[in-house]
Amino acid sequence: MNPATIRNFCIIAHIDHGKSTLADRFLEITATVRAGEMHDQVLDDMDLERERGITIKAHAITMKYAAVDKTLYTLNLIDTPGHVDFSYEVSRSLAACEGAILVVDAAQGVEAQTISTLYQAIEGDLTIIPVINKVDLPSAQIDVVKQQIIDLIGCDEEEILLASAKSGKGVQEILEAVISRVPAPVGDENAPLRALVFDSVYDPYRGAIAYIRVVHGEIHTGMDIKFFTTGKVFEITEVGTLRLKKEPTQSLSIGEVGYCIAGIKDVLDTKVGDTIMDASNPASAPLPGYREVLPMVFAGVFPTVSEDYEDLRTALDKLRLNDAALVFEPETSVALGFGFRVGFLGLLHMEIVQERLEREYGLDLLTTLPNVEYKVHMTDGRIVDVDNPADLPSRGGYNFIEEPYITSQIIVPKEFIGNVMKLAMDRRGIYKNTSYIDPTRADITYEFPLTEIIFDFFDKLKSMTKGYASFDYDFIGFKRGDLVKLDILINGDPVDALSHIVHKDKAYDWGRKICSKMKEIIPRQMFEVAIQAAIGSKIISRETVRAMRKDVTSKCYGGDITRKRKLLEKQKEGKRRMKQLGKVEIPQDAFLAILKVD
Amino acid sequence: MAAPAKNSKTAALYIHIPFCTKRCDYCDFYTVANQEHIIPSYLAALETEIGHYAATPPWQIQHFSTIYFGGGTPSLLTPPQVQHIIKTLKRVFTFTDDTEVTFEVNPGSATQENMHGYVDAGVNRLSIGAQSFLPKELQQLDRVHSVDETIATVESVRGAGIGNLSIDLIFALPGQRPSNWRYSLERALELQPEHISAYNLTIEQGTPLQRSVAAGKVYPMSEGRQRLFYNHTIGFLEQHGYSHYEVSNYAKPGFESRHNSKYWDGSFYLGLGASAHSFDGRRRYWNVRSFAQYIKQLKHAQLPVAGEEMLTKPQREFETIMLGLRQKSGIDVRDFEREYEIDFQSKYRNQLTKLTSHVPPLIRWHESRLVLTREGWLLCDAVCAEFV
Repeated sequence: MNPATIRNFCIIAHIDHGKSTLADRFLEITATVRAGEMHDQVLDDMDLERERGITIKAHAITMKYAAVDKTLYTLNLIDTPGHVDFSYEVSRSLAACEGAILVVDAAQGVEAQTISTLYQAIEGDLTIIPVINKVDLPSAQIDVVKQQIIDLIGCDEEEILLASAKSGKGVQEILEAVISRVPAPVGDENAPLRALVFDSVYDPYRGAIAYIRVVHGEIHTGMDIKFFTTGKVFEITEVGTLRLKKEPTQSLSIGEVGYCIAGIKDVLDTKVGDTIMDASNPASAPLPGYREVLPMVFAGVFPTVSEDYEDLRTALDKLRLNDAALVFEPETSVALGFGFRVGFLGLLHMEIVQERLEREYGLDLLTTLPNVEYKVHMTDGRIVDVDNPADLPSRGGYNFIEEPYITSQIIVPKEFIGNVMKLAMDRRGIYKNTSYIDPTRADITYEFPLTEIIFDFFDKLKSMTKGYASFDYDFIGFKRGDLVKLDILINGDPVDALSHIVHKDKAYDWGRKICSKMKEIIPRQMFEVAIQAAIGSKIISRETVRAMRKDVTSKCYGGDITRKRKLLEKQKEGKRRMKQLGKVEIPQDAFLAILKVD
Repeated sequence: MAAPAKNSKTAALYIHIPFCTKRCDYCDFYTVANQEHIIPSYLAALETEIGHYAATPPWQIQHFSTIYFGGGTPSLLTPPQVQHIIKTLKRVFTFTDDTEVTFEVNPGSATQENMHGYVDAGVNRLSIGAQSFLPKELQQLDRVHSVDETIATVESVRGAGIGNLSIDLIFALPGQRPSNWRYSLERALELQPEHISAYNLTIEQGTPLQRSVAAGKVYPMSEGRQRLFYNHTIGFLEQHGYSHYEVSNYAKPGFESRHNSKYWDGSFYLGLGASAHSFDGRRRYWNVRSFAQYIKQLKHAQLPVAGEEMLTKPQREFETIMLGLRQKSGIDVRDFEREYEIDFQSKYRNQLTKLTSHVPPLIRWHESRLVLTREGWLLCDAVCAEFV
């Protein structure tokens, strides 16, 4: 195919600013989807994605468009995940494009996530086509948003297109702009093959399918390919383009976007960002930008009934087939039994995995308080990675601990700056900088320990700013922190699943809150139950669940017996779901409640 | 359908009279106030129900040894009405010669003359709902009777020649002082009843009392204080010759309520009237609660049964434990093992270890019987729950 007729582009937009609707209009105009095949927002095809209104995994689609210049163009729309947890995947999707449509809601204006993705696109030299969407809304502030965009990307006012994806107004103009403004892909047809893997999916019949963009050379059926990072070689059984369904072709050449199938059994072999080469004539260097995806957030995931352990393992194995970012290994907890320590890209990723396990695999799960990974500098000079607080060596065994930090961008109307600063201070934020997107909205940069934001930071931020704040972050590295391990003891025995690594200044408060929360949840038993928070051997907080002192039904005659028995049977059923710690029975809720400590 | 369970024990018969002149604030029994004019239709329906069970297995072949008129307020019935019921029962069912016939009365609701009439009808045991001997507490409980009426009723019971009298009392009222409770106990003893039921006030869901507690108008007594009251009650009554033979029941030797004991020892019982429960060794079933519904269904020749359950073997086993432990005599493990064909000690090893090693122990062995300790009485439900 002549690369001059190919345009590869993506859409950058905040949640709800109209990305999916705009994509749907493109599909209609280009007749990629015939009437009747159309269901709203074709690109987001996972239930969860639709419910949450976000795109979790990137997808791509190829459209044929007869432009005003009478030429038939091939337009490859590459979708980008819309959440910070997946910023690396975003960067790889962007790397497959020459242009990006920046969609901004006419009423909402520019948001943090849009900006961070936009900056990535600008860094990657993509041509930006600014579009103000929803211009028909009564609350549209077109001039204000125009100015924001001009300030943001330094474009001319005339370059900004006005559209309503919902009504279709201005949509064709956007496609024309893609053709006239976005450069055609450039590559060396005769050079050895180099294709970028920007996504992969798992098909139970065909194995891992790589979504690729050919940069140099050509890929064709029957060819032996080699993945740069793994060095593994596979024979291509099928290549093709991504129409509404996969359409096989003989080959894909420079600038083309499509898929390849090569009997690859594991998505770990089709790593996002990897370079596919010709095994018989490998290029000397890979495409730039590959990064190993590292989990940032860890939590113990346990079945509520121990018999479900094998089912949980099977479910995790299956999920991982489609989610190379998911890592897990078996974990044994004294309190919760057998389960897995699972690493996630971020909190959203964690929620999604949890929900899919429960919904798609029917599992009843208990997830421990998530934590980050720490670098523990041992007295003998070794550096040990600790992703489970229970594994932290005793205080004498290490010199200091480092924790991961992120830099964050928070965009808020300026009247909320005070609230944001208050929250940031509470979360050990390090203030860096404030700039203004427009006279009413500030763009504040802070550095935070990651552990301070994985928990409920975004919810808090939203509620302190009446929902106006938008938030984005990037990992920047490890910094030394004054951290301690806080243990929770029940009648003197530490409960491993409740241990947590916290900043020394917060330990007391945290311990007190957990103890009082646990007191609410642990039912009274026939003996006293002591709940203590401890740092090492030092007890910093204590609550007591008093022993049950009287528990006897006064009347139990003919008409009371059934009711009484049922009540006790029900109690027993509740107990069956409790976790036994020594003599003490603890409801599962206790392990969840710690997630809700305020 | 499974064959009726074998039972060598005699059966119990219960008649529910759901009418009251007024509803009490703590009561969660099925009763209705100011509906006495319905009584004749109710009794007609009752007779129809009696007629049905007279010809129905296993009841037609049972030997009954108790009749119990409960309520409600059975003393709203006239002696001829009571006589008619007893006569009807004795005509269609088989009763032992020494059948215990208990009649519940509320103080002030029965005249001396009526009392004689009940005795003539065959009543030989009276249960009086005295509840308290302090006017202020009767008021707090929203009872319509006075202390004097209680005493007068006892006198008329004795006058009618009843030698088996039970007095009901309630303790652990919100704000009650130990001395006040002791006063009621002492006054009750002065009347020399053969039997005393002393109930720890229970705040039942859906009662006016429970709503007052929920609204913060009434503070229930703390558990620690309830322990004190309960322990005191047991000690005081035992000291005066009343055996603490069940959680809330105390009797002079030989005067334990035979009827109520049948609920606890696995005997069959036939309950007649609205909301009454029956048990035939396998199946427990219960009548509709509404007396209007009860009358209507029987009028249309339908059984007024509202629900039933077939007890599984584990359920029967558990009920035997739950009801056994409520009694001083506890669980006879040899009988238990024979009936359920299990080795009790090995099946319940964990529970037995846990409950005997508790400090202080909650259960103990008395020869081949498993019984609650003093501390165990206080935690009877929690102990039973271990065996589910």
